Amino acid sequence: MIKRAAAILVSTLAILAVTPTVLAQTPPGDPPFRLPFAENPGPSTWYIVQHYGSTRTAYVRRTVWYGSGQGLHFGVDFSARCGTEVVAIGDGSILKVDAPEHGAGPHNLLILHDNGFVSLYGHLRDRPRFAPFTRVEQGQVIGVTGDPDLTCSSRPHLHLEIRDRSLFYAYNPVDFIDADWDSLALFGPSSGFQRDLSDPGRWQTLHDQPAVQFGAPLLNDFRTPWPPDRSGW
Amino acid sequence: MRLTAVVLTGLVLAACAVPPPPPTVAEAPSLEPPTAEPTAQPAAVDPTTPPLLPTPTPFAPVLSQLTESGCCTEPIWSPDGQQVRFIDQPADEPVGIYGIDIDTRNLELVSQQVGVLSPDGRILAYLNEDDETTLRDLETDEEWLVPSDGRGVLFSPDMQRIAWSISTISGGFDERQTIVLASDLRGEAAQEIIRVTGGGLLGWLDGSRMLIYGQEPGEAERSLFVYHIEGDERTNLVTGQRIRAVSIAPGGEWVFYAIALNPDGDTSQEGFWVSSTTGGPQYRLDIVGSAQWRDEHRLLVIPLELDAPSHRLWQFNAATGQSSILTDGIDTPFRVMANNWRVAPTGDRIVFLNAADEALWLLELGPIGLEEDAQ
Repeated sequence: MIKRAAAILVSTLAILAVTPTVLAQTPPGDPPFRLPFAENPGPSTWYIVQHYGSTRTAYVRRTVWYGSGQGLHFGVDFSARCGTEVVAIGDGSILKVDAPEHGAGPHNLLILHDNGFVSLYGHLRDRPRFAPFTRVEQGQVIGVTGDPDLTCSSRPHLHLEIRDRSLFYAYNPVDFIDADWDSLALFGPSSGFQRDLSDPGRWQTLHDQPAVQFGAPLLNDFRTPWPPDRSGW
Repeated sequence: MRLTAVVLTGLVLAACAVPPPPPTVAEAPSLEPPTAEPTAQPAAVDPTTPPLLPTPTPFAPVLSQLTESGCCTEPIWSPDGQQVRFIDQPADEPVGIYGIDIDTRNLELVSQQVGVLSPDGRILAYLNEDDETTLRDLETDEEWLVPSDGRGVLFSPDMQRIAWSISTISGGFDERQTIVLASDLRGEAAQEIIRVTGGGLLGWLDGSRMLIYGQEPGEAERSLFVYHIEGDERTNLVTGQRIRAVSIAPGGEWVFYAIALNPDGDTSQEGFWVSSTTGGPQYRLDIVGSAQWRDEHRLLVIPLELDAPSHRLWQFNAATGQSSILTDGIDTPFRVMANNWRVAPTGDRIVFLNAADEALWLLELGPIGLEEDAQ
């Protein structure tokens, strides 16, 4: 218990020690990170099931699942069978293990990368066996996928977020992960982005999605949404 | 909105359609073709299937830009294939569903009320201010309410019926219950059709047959099945597998589906399938990607080929088991953004959101069947 409390204290101090200035929304240069799986996508491995941003799924659940993240989907969801190995998207140090304040249970893991950004791996099946400040390398297995409904038959997937060091902001992983996102989308989500008919072209592509500030007001509580906030549309 | 009416040719057009650098032979995606092997039941693909080489066709696919960059996403086609439609708000114009003529590039407002158009384009379904599902005849402006309690409806292809679903919203997704209901087009004679768990209505095959996924009370596993609403009968297509990406061919004789990530870890059936809905053959396709129907039995697929410089189009004819490569990624380079593409009802072209410039482009494929005749 004492060791755990000490680890939390050290971790918290590390976060508080950083400059409160919000980092740029996108890193300079090429995307620094890789995809979180070693295998290629496909019907027997993994595929994207929800993009980052103003998705239709997020809109429907904007006040419930995603209320703390301004109603948007503040990560990317990768559908994968329970037990699929997840790899670190970049070099870094373990920042937190099982941090319930960040959601995405039953288990999660946060890595502070050398460029100052943080990756969060959510809905892991098992508690990752890392202590805070352990170094990990890009491509190293850091956990296995699980199911937020705890059944492994409902919706097993990995929820991956990119945050700034303060953990108050989440960014679009498309800008940070070196991947062929347009090809990945070919076997991807069945629904697209939610529209606000008062500005129908806003937030309609993979790249045109806003950053999320946790705890701030909803960005997608549209007065004229399309599709409507009812099922079947 | 200022719409660009530009028809380019040859390499100039190709250079506009894909991001630099231009593709080279060395960078080209593999020309090893996907294959399809007919089977009586879902089964493993015969690995000895002879490879298919790209076949020169009498028609060279042609790319042309349809709209300006950033104009619009999620295009759909008018029933006659003459217009590409999308939700937009051109400058000084109201928000609505707009259509651009593929020949003249003229833009017109199809409906200021945003909603879902029926297969024949005549009826618009939308949610009114009182959260009631409303149907409007766009030719007569007559409107009427249907009893779906604000839910969206699916029109039968013969325009005689509509259907909708009521689902529970708690519990695991594989445990949620769905009631499928249907009525006539006026919303009258509404009746419960079927109850399933872990799935729901996927679409109409024709005026009397539905495609449904899930398990009925008393069943141990989910199935993809055809439900005959007049005879209260069902025909199973596949049982005990996790289904996604279902697509129904025009006419309802064929369906496409993917089996993916079975929870029990059984990968033997996972992949892409084409199945007859009338007791005919089932085919396993040795390919993964995005699939849409070109006509009653021809399926188009953009294969998922990571980091290839161009997407390409592949075709499978379920009536003959014949497959063809329609574009090879070198002579006709294009890249679809975020799976935004639609096949024209005429089957002779597709519209897609170009990843390079975020404009809508057309890819003309030529007359249906020409590539098969050339093989």
